[in-house]
Formats: sequence, C-alpha cells, structure tokens
Amino acid sequence: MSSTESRSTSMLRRLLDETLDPGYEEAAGRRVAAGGTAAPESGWTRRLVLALCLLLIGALSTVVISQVRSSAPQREELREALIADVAAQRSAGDLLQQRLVEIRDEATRVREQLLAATSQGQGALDELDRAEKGAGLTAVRGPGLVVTLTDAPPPENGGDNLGRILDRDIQSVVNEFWAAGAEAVAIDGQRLGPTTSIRSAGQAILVDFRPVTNPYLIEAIGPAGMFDQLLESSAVRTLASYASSFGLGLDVVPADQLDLLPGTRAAVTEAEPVGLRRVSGRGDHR
Amino acid sequence: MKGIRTGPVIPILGLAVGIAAGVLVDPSVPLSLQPYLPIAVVAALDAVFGGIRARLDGIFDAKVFVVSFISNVVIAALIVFLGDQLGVGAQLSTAVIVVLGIRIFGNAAAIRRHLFRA
Repeated sequence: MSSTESRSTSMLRRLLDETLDPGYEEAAGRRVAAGGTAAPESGWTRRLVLALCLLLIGALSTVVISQVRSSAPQREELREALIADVAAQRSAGDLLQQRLVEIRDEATRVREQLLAATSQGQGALDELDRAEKGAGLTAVRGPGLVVTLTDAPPPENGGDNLGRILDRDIQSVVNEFWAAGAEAVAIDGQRLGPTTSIRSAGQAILVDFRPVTNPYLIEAIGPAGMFDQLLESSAVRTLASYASSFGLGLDVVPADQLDLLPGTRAAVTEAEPVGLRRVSGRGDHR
Repeated sequence: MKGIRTGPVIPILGLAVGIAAGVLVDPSVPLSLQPYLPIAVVAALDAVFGGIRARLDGIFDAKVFVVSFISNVVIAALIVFLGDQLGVGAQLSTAVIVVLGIRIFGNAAAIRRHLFRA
C-alpha cells in the first residue's frame, strides 16, 4: 500500500492518502491473524450500540442545523424588539412631558388666581410673566420665519457627504435669529430656552439631548424686519454658498402665524429661590 | 457475513429516528456548548463516512466505529475549547475542519469508486 511509504515521507501525504480510520484495518488484521475472516461477526449489542450512535449523530446534526437557522432571525427579532422598546420609551417620555405641561399649567393657573388678588401679587405676576417669556416657558403665537435646512443627497460614490447639515449650521441660524430680535425659536417643534444646547452626537443632532432629524425646521417668531436681516446675515449667506456648492437645502419662508410650544424648564441645581418678599419688594420699586 | 448483509437497516433506522427526535424535541442547547456543536457534527460526519467506506471495504467493525465516532467528537470539541482558551479558537476550528474535510472527501471518493466502479 502506498500508505507505508508516505508514512515516512510527509504528514500531509498521509493525511491525504489515509482517509480511512486505521483502526478498521488493524482490527481486520487482528481478526485474520486470529484465524477468522476480515469481517467481524456482528452481535446484537454491537448493532444496538451502532444504532444508538447513529441516532445520536442524527439528533446532533438536526439540533445544530435548527440552532444555526433560528439564531439568525433571533438576532433580527432582538433588533426589532430593541427598536420597539426605544419607540415605546420615547412615547412614554412624551406622555410624561405632556402630563408635566398639564400640571404646570394647572399650577400656573392657581398661582395667577392667588396672586392677582393683591396689587403686590399682581406686580410679582407681571415680573414672572416677563421672566417666563424670556426663558421660553410659555406657548407663543405670532408672525415669523421658517428656515428649512435639508441634508444634501448622499454622494453616489459612497464617499463622505459634504452637504450634511451640522450642528453648527443650525447653531449659526439660531444665533442670527436671536440677533435679529426673535422672541421665540423652535427646532423641529422643540422650543429653545436660554440654556438649550444644539450639539452633534455621532451622526445625530441633539437639541437639549433629544434628537432632531433631517429636514431641520427652524421656526422663529419676531419682528417684521427679521426676514431681511436674516437674509443679509453672514450665516445664511454662508449656508447659501454651501447650498450651491454641496447641494444642501436652504429655504427661508415668512409665516403669518406660528404656534410655538413652551420649552422645558431647566432643572435648577445650584440656584436657590429668593423669598417672595424680595421679589415683591423689587416689584414695589417700579 | 449474514449479519453485515442485514446490517444497514438498523443504522439507517437509528439515523432516521435521531433526525426525527432532533426535529420534534428541538432541545435548547446550553450557550456554553454552542461553539463546539458544529465542529462535533463535522467530526461525526467524518466517522459516518469512514464507517460506510469500511463497510464497502468489507472490514467494518461496529466497535471501531463507535470508538472513532466518540473520540473524534470529543477531541474535535476539546481542540476548539483549548483554542478558545488560548485565543486561537477560530484558527484551530479551521484546522480541524480542513483535516476532517479532507478525510470526508477521501472517504467519499472511495465510496464512489466502490459504488460506481469509477
């Protein structure tokens, strides 16, 4: 047999030639040496053990196949479940936010009722009203402008999209709005307050840690001259030049009436409220 | 000789029952065992092809088959386990698959020569 010579030549050769387990030949050789035939007698126990082995092999194979088959859709299911979880949590958060607004409205109403009874209280109320408007905590309505920023379509060669809207594009438009005398600004319906952040996190843009998505709708309520001033502004001019060279979308439209929702109240961590006496005292000086 | 002639019915029956059991029962495999099962199946397949070829050669021995099957599966799983511990699990898996694959191919070719004389 060729195996005897290849055994000495190389391991690989042996591997390729001796595909049959050498145990079979050895066992047959032993039987022949003992005076029997090459084929063994097969008792019932041997056959039973053999059948059991094959049973095991069959079961093992099917289990592994079903395992591998089921694990792929499982992963997909998990992903879908996670997406559903995110959506559910977000809507739960929205619901809580809405409930908060309702309770806050109720508290404001009660406060107004109680404060309006006295002139001192009325003074405090006026002060509060001005402060809240400044902080973007009241719903407002009025004429204004709507700026729509849109990502450029992704390039066909799959490279970096240079026409993607960045956080600083939105920041610059918002800053121009404030500079032009806007009284209230909202991005994708989310009202901006004095401490609102507009930042990138990976591919997403977050406004106060909540994602806003393309197309980005920036609404602002302000004086009539805001439109002209905005069109003259450096931010809009820069964006317009980006629009012509990189294909991003820039659209400025005046609106007769905009409704902006109240913003979220920033959590107070360091500041302590001064007593009602101080507030009303300041009101008295006026 | 008579025993071998009637032999294949029982193994084939065993295999069929095993496949049916695997499909019907669908047991959940512990997560820690999962990486070793595919390798174990390939090792078992090698033993099966070796057994068929030995039978066609007229030297099939149930004892040798059972021992080779069990040791193949255990050693293949052990090698992969050891490889995982050493951080070369993927490479060792490939090595095991290559060796077993060559043997399966060789035995399948021998079986083909026996059956079709070609």
